[in-house]
Amino acid sequence: MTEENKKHDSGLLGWLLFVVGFAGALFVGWVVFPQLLYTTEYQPINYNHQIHQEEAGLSCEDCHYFREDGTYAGKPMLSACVECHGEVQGETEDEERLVSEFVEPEKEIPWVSYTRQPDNVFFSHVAHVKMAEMACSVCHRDVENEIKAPPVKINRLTGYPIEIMKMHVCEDCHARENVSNSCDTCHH
Amino acid sequence: MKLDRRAFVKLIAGGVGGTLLSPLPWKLADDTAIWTQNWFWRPSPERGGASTVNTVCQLCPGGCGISVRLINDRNAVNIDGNPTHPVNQGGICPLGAAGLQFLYGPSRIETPLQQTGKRGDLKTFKPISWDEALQILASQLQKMRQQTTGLVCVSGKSEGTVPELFSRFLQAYGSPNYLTMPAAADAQALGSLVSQGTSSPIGYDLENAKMVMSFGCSYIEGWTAPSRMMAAFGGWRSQTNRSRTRTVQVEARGSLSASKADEWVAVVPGTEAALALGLAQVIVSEGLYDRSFIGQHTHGFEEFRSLLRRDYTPEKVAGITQVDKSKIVALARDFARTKPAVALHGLGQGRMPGSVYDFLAVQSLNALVGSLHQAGGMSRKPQLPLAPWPEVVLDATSLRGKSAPRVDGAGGSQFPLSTQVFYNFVNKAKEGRVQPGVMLWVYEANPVHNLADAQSFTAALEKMETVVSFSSFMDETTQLADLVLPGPTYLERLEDVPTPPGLQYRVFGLSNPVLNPRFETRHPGDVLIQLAKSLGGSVAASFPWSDYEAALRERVKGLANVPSGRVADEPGIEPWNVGLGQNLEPNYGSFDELWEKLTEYGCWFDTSEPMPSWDSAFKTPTGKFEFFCQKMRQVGIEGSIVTYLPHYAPVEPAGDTNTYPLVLVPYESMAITNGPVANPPFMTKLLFDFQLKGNDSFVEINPETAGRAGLREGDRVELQTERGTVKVRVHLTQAARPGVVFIPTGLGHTAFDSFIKGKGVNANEILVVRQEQITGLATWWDTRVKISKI
Repeated sequence: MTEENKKHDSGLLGWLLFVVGFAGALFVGWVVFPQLLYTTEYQPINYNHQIHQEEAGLSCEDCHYFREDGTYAGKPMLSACVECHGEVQGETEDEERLVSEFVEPEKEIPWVSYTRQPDNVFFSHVAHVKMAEMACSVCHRDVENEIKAPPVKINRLTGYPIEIMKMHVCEDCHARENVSNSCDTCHH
Repeated sequence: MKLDRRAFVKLIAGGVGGTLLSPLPWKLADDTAIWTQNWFWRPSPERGGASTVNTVCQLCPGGCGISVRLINDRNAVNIDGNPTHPVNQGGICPLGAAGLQFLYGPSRIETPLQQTGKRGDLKTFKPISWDEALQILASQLQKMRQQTTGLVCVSGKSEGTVPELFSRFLQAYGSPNYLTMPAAADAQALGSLVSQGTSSPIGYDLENAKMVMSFGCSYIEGWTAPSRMMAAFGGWRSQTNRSRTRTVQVEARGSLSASKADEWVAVVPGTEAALALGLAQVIVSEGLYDRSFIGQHTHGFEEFRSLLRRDYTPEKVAGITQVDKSKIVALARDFARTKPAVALHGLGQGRMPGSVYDFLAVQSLNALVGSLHQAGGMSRKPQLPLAPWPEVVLDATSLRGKSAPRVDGAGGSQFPLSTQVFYNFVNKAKEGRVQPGVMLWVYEANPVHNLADAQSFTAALEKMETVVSFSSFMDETTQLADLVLPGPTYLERLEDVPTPPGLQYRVFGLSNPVLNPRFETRHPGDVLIQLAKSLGGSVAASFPWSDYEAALRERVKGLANVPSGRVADEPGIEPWNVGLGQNLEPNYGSFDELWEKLTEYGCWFDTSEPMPSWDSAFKTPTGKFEFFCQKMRQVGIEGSIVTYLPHYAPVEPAGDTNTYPLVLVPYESMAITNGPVANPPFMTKLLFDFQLKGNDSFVEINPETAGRAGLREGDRVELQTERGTVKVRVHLTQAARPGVVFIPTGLGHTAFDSFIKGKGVNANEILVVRQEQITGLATWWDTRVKISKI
């Protein structure tokens, strides 16, 4: 093997290794890292949005309502469930657990939140849903036909769920809709 | 093929390149930033539904209605003014707004404590149960039953059912030694007694006045009921220019009240009363007084007129006050010609004690211009029609105690008029001249910090056998207690807040607990009832109620039994526009309904009590308003004719003018509280850096005075008086009268918590207390002082 060939040979290997390193890093960065960064949490019991709407005839506002003072109640409290599920009605295991583990001992269901605003953000649901008439699904996943509540991925470092919006999403929409983007619109 | 260095570098380079094109570094950097915002000590409010509960603030006597916002009915997150409350009209002061820092602050006392070591050592306070605490107290009181006058109580509150229960307990137990913290109200009560025959507190119809002359009153800086004054001031200033209410501030310092006044008259501090008499002389000599009132309803006018003519001519008063002669004449004419005009009494925030003659001087000015018991003038604070409790049951021991001489000598031969002489108690105790075995109770007061000549009270405490504190906080006085029986804070307890000081109409505030007590605290009213029951006999019989609420309800029933009065249940109620003497249609049908509405809104008010009529206004020996106070002579106060007339009777500041060339005057402000509670950190943040910088507080002096002493802005100085020395810094300002040093009160705490203590110096450590000869009342308005650079 000539000197030149040797050089070429090692160059080839070098480039091969470069590609290996590159591809490996991409794999770690895109596939492994997200797996490591997030934990998966499951809801304490399954909630079937579809069946509640179609069979029980509930509307979104029956559970996710605005309080009298305009603040948004968010997740429903157990009292909303008790209105119908004081006793077991159907045949699902989840409903049985709802009654025995939460309704009877009068324990609030520790729902895992899919999205959460940081404390330094002042976010008003009323301003967006009632005044700007935005659909819930603009920001939240569409739950209309959802049969099984998906697990929640929680960021190990920040403690926030994966679905949370970043500030630029708020800003883009505010800019599009000609709403103020000054700091004190959201941060008081 | 060989893995050489070059190939390895390429592998790493590929790795780096790949990493940079993956989200890993960017996401990690972003998330790390967010992670740093969520460390565990960062407070995160609980989420949930908000509710609002109305109650009444008790951080000062102002009695403002407040609305507390709660999350999930248990976490208080905000305090705002209650717009339905007529006193504050929805307004709130910085202290009231910072109230949650008292509820959640670290200086709260969580259980009863017993001092097992040396007094003042916080480490040897042992938490004990309420049963134990009451047992200890009851057994000591049983032992003292032969020496009942050894029980002394100092209350920071003078009105309301809880102070009444304390006073009642002492009566039933057999001690006459119930004291309230010294205040301007003491002089006002005595002054009213000798000139009008009744010692009821003062009320002013300020909202209807057209000219307000304030003699040293910080009228928009916390005087009497602070939010009422802010609302009244707003009313004056929103009138049209031609008929606008004008204010004159007589004060040595260019305070906020002075700067907002139409006229600022910078007198020599301590000569405010002399100026009042100077104005009186002009009004009398020019015949500008109310002839019909003076002719028909006053006694001793001729003697007063002669005294004015002799001692208070504009020339002489100009010499005393250093106010121009022409200015005195102009002010007097203005005051007499503007109807109605009113002169205000009560230095600083109206709680700083003063002399009875100062009050008589200001009151005589109101009498001369016909502003006494008239719309827009000075009158009495009306009494609340509360139902009385049953009489105190007295046994042989308590009867003996009732007639025993008081520990402070009040009502005795030296001070026949006075109902209390606080500093006599302090001085006697300090010198060991009180009986052995004294048990001192301290309620809603922090005398170790708040009383001028603070060291003397501390020395007096050392002579007490037992000190019992009812405080909610580890304040300076409570630190030195032997037994602590912590009460709940005002946001956690039920209590009445009677008509705030200075009001002309009736107000009954009900302070509701807005949340459950956070700690093992117990209402002082309940503690007294339980204590009385465990003592048995006539003491127990004097406290027939199951608990404090039962006792309070019994008194409130009186409000439901009068035909007039309303619960303030809508915004914008202005009782001063209704007119005094007008009945109000009750908006409740029964006591139960009244109680329910009171707990919902917090305030009952009534305008049915008219200003006193001339045939019933004066309970004096002559049945008239007495310039010449017969009562003084009757009780055996001796002296020349001047003794019985309003006159300028300065108690000379202590110390000689060579050693102490300047005058030290304390000042009070809305940004620093002086009450039993300490300045909350939120409020301390409001101070300018020429008031408090780091831990250094500042005194204000005139640049001219500073120039003479070779001082520049911010210099560190030592202030020395006969009482002691403190180190402060100087702030040069034209707002300070030359020759006077102004020191803020309310700073320099040595107790509470690390967020409160050590901020500035406590002015009370260097203020010298003087006592008026005939009443023993204290004053510490002016003290001689030396300032030297360090």
